[in-house]
Amino acid sequence: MNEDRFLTALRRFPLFATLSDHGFQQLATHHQKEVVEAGASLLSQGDYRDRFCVLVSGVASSFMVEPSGQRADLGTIGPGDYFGELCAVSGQPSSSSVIAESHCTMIVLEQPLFRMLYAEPDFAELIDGSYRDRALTLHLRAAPLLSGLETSDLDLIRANAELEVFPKGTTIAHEGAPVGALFLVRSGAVKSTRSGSGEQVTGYFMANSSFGERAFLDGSHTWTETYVAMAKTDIVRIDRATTDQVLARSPKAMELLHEAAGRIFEQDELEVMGHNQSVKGGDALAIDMHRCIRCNVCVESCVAVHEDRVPRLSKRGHRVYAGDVPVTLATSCYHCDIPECMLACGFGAIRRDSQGMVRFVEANCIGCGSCSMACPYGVIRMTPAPGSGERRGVLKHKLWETLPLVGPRMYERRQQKLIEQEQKSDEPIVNAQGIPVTAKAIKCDRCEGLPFEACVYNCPTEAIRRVDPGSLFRKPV
Amino acid sequence: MALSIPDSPDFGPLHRSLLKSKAWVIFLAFLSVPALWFVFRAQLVGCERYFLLATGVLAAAGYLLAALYALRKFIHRTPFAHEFAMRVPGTSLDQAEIELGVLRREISEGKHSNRGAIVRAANAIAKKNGVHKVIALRVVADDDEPGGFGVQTLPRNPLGKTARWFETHFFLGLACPILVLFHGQGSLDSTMAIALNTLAVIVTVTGLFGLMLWLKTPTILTRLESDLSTEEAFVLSRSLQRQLNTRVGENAAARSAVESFVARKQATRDRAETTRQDLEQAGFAAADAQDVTVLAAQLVSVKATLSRLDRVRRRLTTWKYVHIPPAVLLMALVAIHIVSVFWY
Repeated sequence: MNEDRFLTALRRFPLFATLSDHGFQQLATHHQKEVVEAGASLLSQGDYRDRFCVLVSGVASSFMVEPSGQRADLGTIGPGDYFGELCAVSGQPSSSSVIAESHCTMIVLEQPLFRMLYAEPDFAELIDGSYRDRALTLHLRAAPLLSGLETSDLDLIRANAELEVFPKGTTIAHEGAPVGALFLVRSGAVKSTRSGSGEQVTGYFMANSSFGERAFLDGSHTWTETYVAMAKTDIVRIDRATTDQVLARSPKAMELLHEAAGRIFEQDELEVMGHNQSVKGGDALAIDMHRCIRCNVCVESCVAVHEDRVPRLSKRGHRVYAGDVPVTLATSCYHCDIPECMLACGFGAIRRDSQGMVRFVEANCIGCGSCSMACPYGVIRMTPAPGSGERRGVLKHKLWETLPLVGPRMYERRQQKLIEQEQKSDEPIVNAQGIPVTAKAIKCDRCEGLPFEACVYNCPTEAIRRVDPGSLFRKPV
Repeated sequence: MALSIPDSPDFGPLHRSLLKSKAWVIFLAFLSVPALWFVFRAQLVGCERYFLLATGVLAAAGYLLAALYALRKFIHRTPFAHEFAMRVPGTSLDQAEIELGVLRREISEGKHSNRGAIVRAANAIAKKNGVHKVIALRVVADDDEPGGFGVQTLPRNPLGKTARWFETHFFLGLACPILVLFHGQGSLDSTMAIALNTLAVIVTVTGLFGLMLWLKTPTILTRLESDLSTEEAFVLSRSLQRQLNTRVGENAAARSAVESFVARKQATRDRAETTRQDLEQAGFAAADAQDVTVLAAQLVSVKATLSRLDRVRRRLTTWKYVHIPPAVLLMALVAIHIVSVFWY
């Protein structure tokens, strides 16, 4: 198929038929064509591949593995059909897998191109419609609250449920308002608070959790808490009438509802994690302050492994206690489940790799700083920027600087010199495409491509290490 | 490429991990030579020469290994460590992970049931993508599926973590002076013997003193830093300094008043009042003079905190004064001793 015929064929697809001429021109210029053989994996469940794919020829099949381990076929995908919009829109891992059943040709839209087309209302409407439909279908199959229900009950819920997307900070339900539905969190995070003497956090709800069950169990009619989206959050709403109908005819549904209502986290853990925002993080860099001998090897080796000689690690961060040991959660990327930096970046400069690591695409970074502002942990820094001094080991004593009398003076003089050097080096830089930018976003890249993380690897006392933030607060069972 | 977090010890004091360290084995192995000598000396009459040689070689090798720890630590602060050149492109790691994903799927579908074949297939994928020096692959039994296997991806840590080197350094530091003592058979009849034995003791004692400081000082420092860490205090002091510079501008009289206040170790009420009056005389409005004085007083207080924290932090380094020079001297004497033995 020559290129013109190929593009004409693309234009006929309903998805692209409504694109403006400019949009289609962009698509024609920037899309990537991929040809795959039968049996090739096009998308794997759990993968973070934020590219959007449209099948041009051939047949593929879609399926998911349910929490019970059962494989559920989700149908076939033919020419003109698309997949990957769930990841592309939300930055969430894929909920299903796609495998080529025959020799297939497909076009791939990387994030910047997808975002550009998504800005066109007609295209966005189609994608949003399909997103809601598929996300709902997939979530109803995967939600623990609904696992084991009869097909007829699931069909009833499917027919009446709705998927709603709440931006960060939106109130989903108000304390005192009537309970009109049962809510299932598909992605994102929800915080529940109770008013009284100040706002009191009563719970956090992450993906695959639910809230509102108690109203159906104890018959109360009003919300006893206010529920607020802590990040962009997808919620499946099942209205009260449908829920009552399913509960009336399914003892299994009642049992599952009781189970979900009883699944309440320990208050202490929630408070600590909530205050430290660790609730959303996947992986933390923790410094045991009773072991840290302040030798600065971690920061210096971080500098050593980065070409621009700017450390990604800062030893400043939230101080928490793991038992009686003070631990600093260093400002290192948490590779969030909901990467707000990625959603805030309009230039495709932040991507997830296939394993969920949030990475910068340096060539696309224009130094606007929106990611830095969106990051809830303050992990992303713009450089050049007023240095914190850690960059050149300002706070580290050289051996001779510990000499009595003359030592402190030598230390101060070196500090001053380093600060001046740092200020002088705050000059405009160019990005990888050679375009001058005023700043560049940097964050921990976990020493990508190296067989270790330099800071963890080189700490002589093993004070710094990667941990699951939850494990710091989890009490032994 | 997502790397699994390998098992790491619990948070807690440093001495606990030293006691649990496998480097004890090195300590015991080094001391096994004199121990065996003691047990079998009756049967080993006439072999004293070999005993001297063994203890001497072991002590020299031990000190050399211990010194390599310092070298390793230093080299990893520079971009010249050979491991830093092992970097592979992220795309290779991603490609390897995709192929490993396919392998994992095939395992779950029951296409591979032989552990050896899985190990070979996983290693072939790593090698094909050029990431075998960067990641280690471990095939483990799948807990959820009896008879099934999982493939884990782990960081390779080519030279071993610095923490392991530190443990080795510590135990070698304990074992070597004992070997030196046995090597000299307790006699201090030559200058060299006196120097070597004395230096070996000094290096070990100062090392133990340093370790004690490393164990105690971080706890004290962390307590002192409970309100403001050194890093935060430093950033705050710079921020206050910038604010003061902006507020004072080019007014020389005001700058002089502020600088003389900031140079003090304590912000006393009298001194603050004097500064405020000086600022008013330099042309500042009463409210501005008050604000600038408050900023300057804050800076004095933050600087005092920094200086207090600095004093404690310095303890973590100062002890090396009495550890490193004797250690260097000891190494030099060991070298001279070895050369002279073979020369004469």
